Amino acid sequence: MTDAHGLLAFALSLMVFGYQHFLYAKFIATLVPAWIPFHLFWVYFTGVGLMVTGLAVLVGRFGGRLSTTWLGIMFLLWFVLLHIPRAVTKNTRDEWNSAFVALAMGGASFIVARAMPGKDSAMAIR
Amino acid sequence: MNTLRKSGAVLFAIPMIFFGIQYLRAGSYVGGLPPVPPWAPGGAVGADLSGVLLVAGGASILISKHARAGAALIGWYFLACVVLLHLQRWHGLLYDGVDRTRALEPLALSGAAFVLISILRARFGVLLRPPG
Repeated sequence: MTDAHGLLAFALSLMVFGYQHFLYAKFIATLVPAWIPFHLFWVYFTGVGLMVTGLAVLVGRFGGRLSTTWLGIMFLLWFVLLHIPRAVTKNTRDEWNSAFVALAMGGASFIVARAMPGKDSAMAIR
Repeated sequence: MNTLRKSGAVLFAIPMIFFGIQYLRAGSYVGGLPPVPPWAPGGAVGADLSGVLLVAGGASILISKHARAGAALIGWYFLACVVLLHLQRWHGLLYDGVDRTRALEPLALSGAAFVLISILRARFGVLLRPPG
């Protein structure tokens, strides 16, 4: 396995996650905190974000570095705004696991962002 | 932004340790806890082994001691779980959103682990490069 394979695995997963936001929009909307308005809008918005970022990583250009950084920020926001309140309130193993999956995906997004082409890129994949 | 990007390895390592502890605490495979599906064989021994492996891999990344080996451990273990276990239930991957998500999460995280190996290798390469 090389870094390019790693990017491919990450990008394809993101694109399917994004597609699932459209497939299961009504269910995912129930996960959005009640105090945030326009639940369905956020489900579709983040779904598009996941797919576009996946595409940018796959292509390796068109703002891949910026979009993966923002993706990481989005996962961190999910961790703080969505998952931690649910985990604290419900205090079930599933909720805590989901919270830390979101945190891991945030970290993974930042790792991929560092590898994307850019002025201060940690490496040159292509 | 760059500080956030540099924090990626830490934010990646902490959940790995958490997952490992969860496996050790549960003593069995748990649905929604990556990378092993709940129906996988191995029982308590397999869960304990997964726990130790994830804690070791995550800790090595977190303390930057054998971090590349830790990232490789996590990357290969997550990928093996996807290929050897999750893909067995390919029907679920096609038609069940939960199965699909549970398979793709470890795939995405394994991908990031392999990228992390390259980042660490590149950083190490810079340190070894002769001056001038």
